Amino acid sequence: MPGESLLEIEGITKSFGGQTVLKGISLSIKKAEFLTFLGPSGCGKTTTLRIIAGFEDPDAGRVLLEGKDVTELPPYRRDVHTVFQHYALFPHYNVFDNIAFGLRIRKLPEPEIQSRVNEALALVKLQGFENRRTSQLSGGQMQRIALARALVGRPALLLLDEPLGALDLKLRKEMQLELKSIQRKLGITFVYVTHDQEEAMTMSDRIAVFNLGRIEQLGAPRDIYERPQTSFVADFIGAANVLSATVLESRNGEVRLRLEDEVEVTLPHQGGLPVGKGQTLKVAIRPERIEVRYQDSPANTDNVWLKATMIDNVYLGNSSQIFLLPFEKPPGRVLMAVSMDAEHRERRASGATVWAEIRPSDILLLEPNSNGSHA
Amino acid sequence: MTKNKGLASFCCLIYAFLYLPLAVMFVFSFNDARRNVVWKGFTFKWYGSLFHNAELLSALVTTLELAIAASLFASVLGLFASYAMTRHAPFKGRGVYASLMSVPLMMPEVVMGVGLLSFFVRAHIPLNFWTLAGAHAMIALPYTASSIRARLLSLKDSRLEDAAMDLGATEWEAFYKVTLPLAGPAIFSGALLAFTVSFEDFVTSFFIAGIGIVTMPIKIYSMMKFGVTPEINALACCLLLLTVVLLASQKLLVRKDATS
Repeated sequence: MPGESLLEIEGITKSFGGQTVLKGISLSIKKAEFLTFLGPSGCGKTTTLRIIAGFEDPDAGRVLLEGKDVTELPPYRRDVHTVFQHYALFPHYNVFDNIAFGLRIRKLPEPEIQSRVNEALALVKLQGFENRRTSQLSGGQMQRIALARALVGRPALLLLDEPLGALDLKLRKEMQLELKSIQRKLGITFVYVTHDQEEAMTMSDRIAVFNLGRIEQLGAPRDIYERPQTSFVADFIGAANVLSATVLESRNGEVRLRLEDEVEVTLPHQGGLPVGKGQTLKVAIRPERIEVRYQDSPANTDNVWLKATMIDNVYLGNSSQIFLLPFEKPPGRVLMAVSMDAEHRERRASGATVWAEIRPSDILLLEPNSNGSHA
Repeated sequence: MTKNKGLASFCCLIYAFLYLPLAVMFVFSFNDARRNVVWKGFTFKWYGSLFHNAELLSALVTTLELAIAASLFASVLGLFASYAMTRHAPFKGRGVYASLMSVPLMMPEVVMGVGLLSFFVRAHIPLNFWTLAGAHAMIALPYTASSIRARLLSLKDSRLEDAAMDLGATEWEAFYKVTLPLAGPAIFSGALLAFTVSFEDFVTSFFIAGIGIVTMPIKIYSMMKFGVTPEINALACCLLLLTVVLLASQKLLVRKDATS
């Protein structure tokens, strides 16, 4: 039954040796969902995963699996399996015995073990590898065996701790799509930990963006990208130009801002603002949403036109990266624009006067970061 | 080139310093003379006579039995100690506990001997084979514990026990299905070291051997009262060979374990 909640985490905190790594993590994961914990190293994503698996006890908070409180249960009493970062295959067993490990612990009859291991090997496309030693496997094959070993017990929830981290880029791309299709086929809930935003965007139904022991934002990949709530999220997922803006006026679904204390813009905005009139907040503009023009604006346009000096135009093959300086006051924040238009391929002298055209709806208002800073 | 030659001869001198006494002992074990002062001719007879010396053979048996008991005891204790130390959650002063385990390595053996003797006497524990085996296990424990501890730490880092428990194994099942087989070579190599330590121990045995327990080193010491005979040289050569074999197999084991 999709939509029904499988795992609930309530107010988890955890510290190691006086250092707080989790400052209150709460979230709910639906059945058959692919949820990704995304964040930089040290943000608490792996610790949260280890608490769900039962390898760490939280200092406070609860973990509920299928409505049952499992906070105090050891790992072997939870219907959760893990794919570890460095695979953790048993070196003294061959491939078959590795996959069969959990089934033998559960004392399933040997014919059933046989057929389920074969099924799992077929799932990860490694039939015929039963008798290989783990030392004879490549990184990609070890990863598949680790996946088969975790899936063969048919857990309600599968945890994956940066499982593709050690693979090269091409193999990683392949495995991303394969993992997603396996997850759809089996209908098992996946919680996936990664620091790679593209990986998260490729596979996830929802992404929880972690920073400094908190969840900054939880939502579908598209929400996270198009409506980042904080400057951390805007900057971590894709690239973003983050500018400071002073609120001048807010009424009738519109808000007037002064960007970088220089340029005034009006944009549509529904609902409340995170700060009051006269105060400063941050806004984000995606580089690909800035159009670079070589002529001034036509008279009738709602778009924002910023007159700017071109600093550099970098040709990247499939696109061009253009750096602009629309603000004169020091420090003079530089905007980055990315475009696939052919007209930018011709390299222009830096110092030329250009215009940056931005649709008002592409200027995203941000809340302060969850730690209160505006960094 | 002259520099290399200089360095090489310097090294030769140092190795001579290390091994000349052993070489002399080896050569004179073949000396065909009762009083082992001047070279009289080559013979194998002292090696032959070793095997007809009943006292010597019984000392050998005692020493082997002691070494086996002590290394078994030290390995089991070392395994439990290392498991507890590496699997317990971190606490303040953990480093002190870990180094306390290796302090006996640096302790003068005379101190251990005196300590053990006064303990056994005060506690009215009769001195016999088993008290001596216990004392040898005590001296050997730091060797087994450090060998096993290093292996258990690397096993912990590879998350294999976590993986076993994640797949449904209890702590005990994870221990005997994963930890024990993978720590096996380290346990065995620790046991070999413990065996060597017990086999060659003289000071502690001399203090607390009690009446009627004669180990090989004690036997050699008592034979020396009548001078260093070629027979003693031959015996020492046999012991040397045994020690070299034990240490070499221990090193091989460690290397094989590291590459697997």
